[in-house]
Amino acid sequence: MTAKSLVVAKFEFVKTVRRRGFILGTLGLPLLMLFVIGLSVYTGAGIAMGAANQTVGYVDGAGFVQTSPGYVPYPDIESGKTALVKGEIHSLLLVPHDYLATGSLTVYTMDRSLMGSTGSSQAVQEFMAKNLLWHENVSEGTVQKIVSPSTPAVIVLDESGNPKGSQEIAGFILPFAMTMVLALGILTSSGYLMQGIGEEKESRRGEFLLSYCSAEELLSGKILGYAAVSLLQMGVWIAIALVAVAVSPLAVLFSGLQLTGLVFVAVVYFVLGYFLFSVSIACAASLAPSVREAQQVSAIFSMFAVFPLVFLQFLLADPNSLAMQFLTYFPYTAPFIGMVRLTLVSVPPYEIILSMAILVISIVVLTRLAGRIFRMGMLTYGKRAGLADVLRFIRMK
Amino acid sequence: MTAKADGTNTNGIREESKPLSFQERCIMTVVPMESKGESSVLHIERLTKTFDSKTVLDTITFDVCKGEVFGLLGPNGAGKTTLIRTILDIFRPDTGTISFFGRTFSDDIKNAIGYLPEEGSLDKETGVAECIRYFAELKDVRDIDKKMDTWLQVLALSEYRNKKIQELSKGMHRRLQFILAVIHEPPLLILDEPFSGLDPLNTKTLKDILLELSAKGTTVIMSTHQMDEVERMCDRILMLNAGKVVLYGRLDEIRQQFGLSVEVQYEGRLPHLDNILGINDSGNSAELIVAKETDTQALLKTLAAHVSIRKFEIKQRSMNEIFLEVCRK
Repeated sequence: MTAKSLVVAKFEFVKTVRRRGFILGTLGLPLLMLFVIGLSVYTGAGIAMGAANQTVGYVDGAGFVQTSPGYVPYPDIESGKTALVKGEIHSLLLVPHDYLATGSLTVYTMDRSLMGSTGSSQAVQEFMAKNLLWHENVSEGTVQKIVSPSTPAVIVLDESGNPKGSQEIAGFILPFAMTMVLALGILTSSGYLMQGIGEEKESRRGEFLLSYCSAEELLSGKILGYAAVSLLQMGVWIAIALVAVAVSPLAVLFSGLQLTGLVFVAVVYFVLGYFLFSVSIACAASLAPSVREAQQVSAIFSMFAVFPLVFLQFLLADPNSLAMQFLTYFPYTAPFIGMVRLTLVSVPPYEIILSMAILVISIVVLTRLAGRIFRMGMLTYGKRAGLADVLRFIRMK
Repeated sequence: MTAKADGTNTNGIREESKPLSFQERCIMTVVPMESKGESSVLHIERLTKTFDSKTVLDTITFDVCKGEVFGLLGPNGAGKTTLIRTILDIFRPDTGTISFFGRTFSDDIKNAIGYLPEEGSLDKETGVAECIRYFAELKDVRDIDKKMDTWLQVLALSEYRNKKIQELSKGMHRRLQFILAVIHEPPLLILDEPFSGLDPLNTKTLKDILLELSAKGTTVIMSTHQMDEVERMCDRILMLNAGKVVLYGRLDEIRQQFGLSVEVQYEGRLPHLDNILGINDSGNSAELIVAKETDTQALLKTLAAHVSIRKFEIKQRSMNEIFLEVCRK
């Protein structure tokens, strides 16, 4: 890293963070997500409360239903419907005479919303379950345990059979979250990097810049600058997420959290993954003839970032399968698959060490080649460089 | 006495009795600068550059001296841009050497070169001052603000200091690019079509600045197709064609080597003329290309004996004519 690289990095960083799009994306996205989460929580709570406060009428054709608070009996279906139309009850439950044999029920309601009827259905199911249990003379305490079972306390054991603390459970969540952050970081920074290099190439500014600094200095400066942009954005998002977690019940999980080895591995994967993707994306962008084509090429690399989601089903089913082991060694999937496997099962240390070694070697080799590819790519105007061109660029002095 | 390929005899004395062939006129202009005793800023020795199997630069050798305005000429695709990129270390030569001030290329050397490319626009979202500061920092310039203000004033861009580049006209953009090329006061300035996009007023301003810089010791290498500017500004030129040096030397000497142009307006029928290098006859006027040693008075007498002469004007050949002649060969 030379002084010129730092000058390039500073310029790219300042230029990008001042853009309206960056400010909107950095502050607007988490606020929008908080708004959506808040809205869904509020709406969900409203539906639950609404369902709880609704009065349900019922016609007991089977002759075993006991009344409960919020439930009004009607002698026949016609009087029940009249009360429903008048708005005296929210819905009308018809328990047919052969209910105990068939188990089928009918609910009449004036509410057309799906959520409203779902809320009513759940309340009616609970009501009928209680009645069935009372009908079978089950004790009140048992009825409550069956109808509203308590959430079980989950105790995770380590390899020696001792229970893990809640901090270590949070320690599992963190690396998984970091994998997602890495994927998100790569997706956002690759966009900025693509845009920057694509614009420079399109406006034929590359040659001018290469008369001021070497291709290696320009490339490393850009990668560093956009890494700083990405880290700033991630930092803001993480800070907002932490504040959101701190004021939520999840805060208990993270209180007094100590960073485990897993978090250290996550940081190493993050750094290595970021540099591998940045160098690759910069080369790809320099080879594309326009910003639009550069963005299309970047989609290939973005695909690697979402691999854990694509393979989630297989990953959860057998995290140590041969395919997953291969993807742990393959440089472009190693940071994501490796991290997710670590959060799921015990991965032999040699696999992680080998995976990181392959990543380091890939970065070193790619960085050496990247200077030449980037230099020639930036000077090739108006045509898309193919694989043969890339090989020619690498051979070229 | 045996004549050599450059038209000199074994004692190094030119035999002037017969006109030189085209090849002889070109080759004789390749004179190493060391022989002139001038200090070389840039020395290129047997430089060759190939892309795949195509030789773009073929054993190029030349010097550029301190304080001179050096013209780099050639038709499109001759190898000028590749030569400039190789000088700037964007490309590395396959064989041959490039030395600056007697040294090989280094970061210090890169900072000692100013470059104005023919094409390419600056980031439109960036401010003028911010852009100058960025490029000046890349060249490790100190006192950036002071130098920036001076150059903005010289090139009449002061009022655009805090504006974005997108607000500049094409000419202003070109002037800004020129500031970026000279803000670090480079001893060697490489300009690719420096006057393109400039109106006559700005062309004159830029030309004056270049000549002033040259007078103060800055070496200017100028690649251009504007032959009138070459004639007005350049001390020496190098012309490339298909990657080879086809002309190299002092401008006045080259023009002399390519003989004289005699414009004749006449009535009658032109006689057969010996020792004429070329003729462009259009019926009642003709342009005769003759060797510089030609006795023009004798030519006038010969013509006057056969046709009625209305005009007989002797001129040095223009660079445009020389350019066309060399390119056609």
